[in-house]
Amino acid sequence: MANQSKIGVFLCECGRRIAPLVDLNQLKEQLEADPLIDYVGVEPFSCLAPGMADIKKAIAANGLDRVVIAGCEARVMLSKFEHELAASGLEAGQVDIVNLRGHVAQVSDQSPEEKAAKGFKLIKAAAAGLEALAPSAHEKVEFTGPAMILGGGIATYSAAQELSRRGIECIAAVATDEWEDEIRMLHEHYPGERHYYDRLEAIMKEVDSSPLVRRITVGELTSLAGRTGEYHVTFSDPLGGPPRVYEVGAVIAALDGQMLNQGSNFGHDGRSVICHTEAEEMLWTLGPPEGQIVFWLNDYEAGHPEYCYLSSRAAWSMARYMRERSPLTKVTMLYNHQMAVPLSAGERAASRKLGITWVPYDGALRPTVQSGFVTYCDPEDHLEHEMPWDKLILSPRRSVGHEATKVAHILGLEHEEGAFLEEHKQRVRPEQVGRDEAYLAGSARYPCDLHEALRQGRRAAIKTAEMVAKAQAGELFAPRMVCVVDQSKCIGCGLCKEICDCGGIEPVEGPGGNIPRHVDPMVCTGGGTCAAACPYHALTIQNNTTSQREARVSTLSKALSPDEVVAFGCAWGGLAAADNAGVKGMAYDPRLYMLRVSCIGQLDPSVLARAFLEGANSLLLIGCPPEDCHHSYGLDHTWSRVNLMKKLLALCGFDRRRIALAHADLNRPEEYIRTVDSFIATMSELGPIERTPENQEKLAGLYATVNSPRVRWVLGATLRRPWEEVYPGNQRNALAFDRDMMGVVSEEFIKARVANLLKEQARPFQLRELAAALHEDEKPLMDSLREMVGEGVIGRMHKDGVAHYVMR
Amino acid sequence: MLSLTIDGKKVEAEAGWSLLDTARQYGIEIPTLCYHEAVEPFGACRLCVVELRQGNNSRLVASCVYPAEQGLEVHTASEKVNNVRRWILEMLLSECPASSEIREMAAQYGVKTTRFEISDPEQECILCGLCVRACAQVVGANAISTVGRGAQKEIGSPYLTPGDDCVACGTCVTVCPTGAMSARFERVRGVPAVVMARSVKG
Amino acid sequence: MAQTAIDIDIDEIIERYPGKPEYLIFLLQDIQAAFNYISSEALTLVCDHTGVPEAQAYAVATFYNSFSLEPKGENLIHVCLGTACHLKGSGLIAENLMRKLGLDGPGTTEDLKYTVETVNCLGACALAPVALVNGDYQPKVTSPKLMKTVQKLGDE
Repeated sequence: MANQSKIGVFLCECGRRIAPLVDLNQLKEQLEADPLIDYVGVEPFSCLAPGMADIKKAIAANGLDRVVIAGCEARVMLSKFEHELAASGLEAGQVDIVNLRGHVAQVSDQSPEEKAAKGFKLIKAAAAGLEALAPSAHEKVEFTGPAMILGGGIATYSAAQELSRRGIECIAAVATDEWEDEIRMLHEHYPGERHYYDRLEAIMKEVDSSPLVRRITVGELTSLAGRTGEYHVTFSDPLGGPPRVYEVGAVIAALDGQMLNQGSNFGHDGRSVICHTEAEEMLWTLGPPEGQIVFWLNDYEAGHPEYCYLSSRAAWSMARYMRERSPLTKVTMLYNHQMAVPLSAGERAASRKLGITWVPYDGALRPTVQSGFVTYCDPEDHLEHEMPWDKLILSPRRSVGHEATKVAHILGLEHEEGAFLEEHKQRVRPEQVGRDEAYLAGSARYPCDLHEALRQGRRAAIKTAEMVAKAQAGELFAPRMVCVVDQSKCIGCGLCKEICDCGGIEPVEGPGGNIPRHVDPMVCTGGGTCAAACPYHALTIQNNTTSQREARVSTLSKALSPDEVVAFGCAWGGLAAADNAGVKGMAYDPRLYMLRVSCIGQLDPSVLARAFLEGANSLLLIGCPPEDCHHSYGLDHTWSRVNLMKKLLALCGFDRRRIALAHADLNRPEEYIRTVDSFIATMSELGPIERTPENQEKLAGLYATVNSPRVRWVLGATLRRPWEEVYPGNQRNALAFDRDMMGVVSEEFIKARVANLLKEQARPFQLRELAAALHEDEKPLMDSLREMVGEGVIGRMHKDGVAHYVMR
Repeated sequence: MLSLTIDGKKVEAEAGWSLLDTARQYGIEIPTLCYHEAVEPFGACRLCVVELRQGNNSRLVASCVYPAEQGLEVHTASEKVNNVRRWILEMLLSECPASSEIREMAAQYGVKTTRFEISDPEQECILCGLCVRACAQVVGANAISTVGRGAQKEIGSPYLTPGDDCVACGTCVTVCPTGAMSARFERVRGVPAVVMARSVKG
Repeated sequence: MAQTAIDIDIDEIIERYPGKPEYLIFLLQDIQAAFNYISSEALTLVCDHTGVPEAQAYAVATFYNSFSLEPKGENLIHVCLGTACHLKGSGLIAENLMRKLGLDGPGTTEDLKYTVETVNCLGACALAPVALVNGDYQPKVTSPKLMKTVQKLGDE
């Protein structure tokens, strides 16, 4: 048996936590006898310095290039092993940890021999996964150009300043060359911030004089192509010339939100009842108005109490400006009593001195705007009062704006229609992702004041600078378990991009044509639902492939007894819950064998099918609680795949319950145990699948069916996209769709079985023979055969006047 | 390789190994609370103290951080050591009366009750800092830290509200020696990002 | 002095120090001195600048008593509870003051007018009991005297 890799297994005694509970001698013997394993060692503690030293020696002495540690939680210990063993030539992905302690030793009353037997199966499966690993080269990321700041938001300046201070060259795409104009127009996005203008001017001057910053005035952003380190950014020419393309290494988007006016429902008329932007415009052009100015902070009534703080700070700034310059201007701030007055102690004193009064109104009674008065109810005395006004200034209506939305779309930032661009932070470990999805700064991201927008710009610049510095030192590497596209297989359908949540698949480029996708390895988090969905298997997660998972599940399924259950648990849900149950020493049914995945969304239906084909009688997938998936919509997407499997199991004549989807909260291991015990109890009642040749033939057909592009296409349509309602469409549509899908699946199932049979037997078959061999009726079989001939999958020939079918 | 003795047994260690790691390699058990293999040793709980004897001199050191040295004479369960452990466990019993792990450990050393005042009968956290260190060193998220000082010290996320830094990986829950992190976890991990994004509908 | 300074440029404070973790406490001290407290925005800026993770900066800010994370009132009153002052009844003086201002314990009134805090020693034991009102020592203070002083501040 020529193994391409050399696999070493190290068993941990772990004090009294594994050794007396698992017969390690028996386990060692079993492993040594197995041809897949090249070396077995036993350590008191593999993870401590003495143990690590032994392991490194063993690796060197035996030329090992794959290691399985039979120890404890992979989630906790794997990075330590990867770090230590890197010097021995093992990259991430070449080390796996089986939780012998928490999944076997501590969680049942089985005898040490029985636990050793269980451990053996799990370790063997892990080894098979490693055997199937083709490690990728360490991908270095280089920056081929300067950083680019686009979007025209005010944060452009703080980002450019920070970048230039850190010695990073950058191109700033601005709307206008004159920074005085920028400040002048600032009130369209950030009214009431004039106390900050001096500093802003200083920033702009510094940027202006920096040799590292090149400012360009461009038209609209039309496309962004490429990946981190090498982007091609295309703008339209504002003068109507040909489009301008820039090669840049990093992109920062400075996008400001829009400040719209309130509607007539608040009495807005643009003259005496105005909003913040108009108020600023008035201050710029006419100066402070005389008379009674009332700032009504009506964010609560406008439906956005969360913006009240921002509105009131801006209003305060304008109020101060007015009072400081024009003693004839009287200013009152009318605010909803639920709002906390956003002034510091010093500001309150200043407010008193300036004679600016803050008047609360009872939020339960909406103030009404009348000619010359605003009526409101005093929260203390419950009397309705009237506040006189000459000019009434309302809070702005904040929106993201049309242009910012367009830019965001081109940058591949998916977000809900009309919602702010707030990027959701990827909830994965820092080592799993190369960088934030997008470097976004400004109030289009989420309403904020000028200072915060500038801070965001600065922060985006800091992160970019750190990345560039690392790249220049040759130390910037992409994470190892990220998706990669086989361009020869990709047809550019875009299904992967639609269901991807991390934004790692490049955005759509311009109109026309299907373009093979590629993945930005610095953004991809390795969730893998894209790879599991691709109809042509064009995507794989490097160092964590579907083939590896099939190898694991295949080895495990072959080794299991009929009443034992295969399970997949994700690192954030099922696996974590199992780990914590192990930590607590909670006992549960030992017939569950769990395989580790980072997200159940990465489980290709072929992996699920393979389990049954190779001997599993039941399969349990345990993901994260609903809406909680850390990668994509793992639980939701897996639902569709499990649904497909259930249909196929039924077509085979097996019980649909044999495959099940569950979720577990890592913090509630007791509930995880209930899930496991419940599933196993049901499976025990069902008993095993009879492994007759007929059943095996069907399972082989099932396996081929889930790999058929047509089935994968239809399945892909059911996978939920981000932001969709929880159940797609209304239930009647869902039902109709399900029936259609069942039709497709049935057809493809027959076809797959025919193809399998013809391939295997390698001779022509008559219809009658086929119907007999497959135990199917002739009429529907005839339809399928006709289709297959039409598709060119099989050929039809005549022998003795009877039609015969043969594999092409 | 350095040679030393632990409990009369001749052992060998390489430079840089701690006494605790060396002892464990030879199957000698030393109790710990604030120690976890995944993170750097911290020396906070002092349960792992061992006695180093040299002639008439003896001193107690924390074995998790004390490096192996040539010719050391280490005693892991002498009278002095056991005495220290009993004191520590008795104090921990008053600090964390709700922890079954502490109670079990204390019982092993014959400590069943505590003479110290119990300020919070529900407390389980021993402030070993494993959660904080795991979050910083294993995960790299730095989502939690110790907050406050002295009697008011507790573990939490900034402002004791869920923030952006926690990725809800549960590593802190898994490494916690008493299970106290389990209750605290809810306050740290917050609402999933997806649900938050939906509520920001324009 | 009553705390009336506003329009302090926080960016100027941040820029006083290089962006390295070891400057964390210097920055926190300067911000505390300028604003009388460290706001969450200020802490975020410090973290951005120094590269210290927010949790760690928060741990440091909550560890030291001289850092406050809550905004302080316009008027700061410190009542000494040191040995000499305690013997002269400063405890009761502190309690009375806090009760009169509607405070449950040391803290700041809701309208941000007053902050009352207790300290362990002001180093003026011969003047016991001592209170510090906006930096001015009030020697041999009594409850009525203190209340009068505090009320006068409120009228300003």
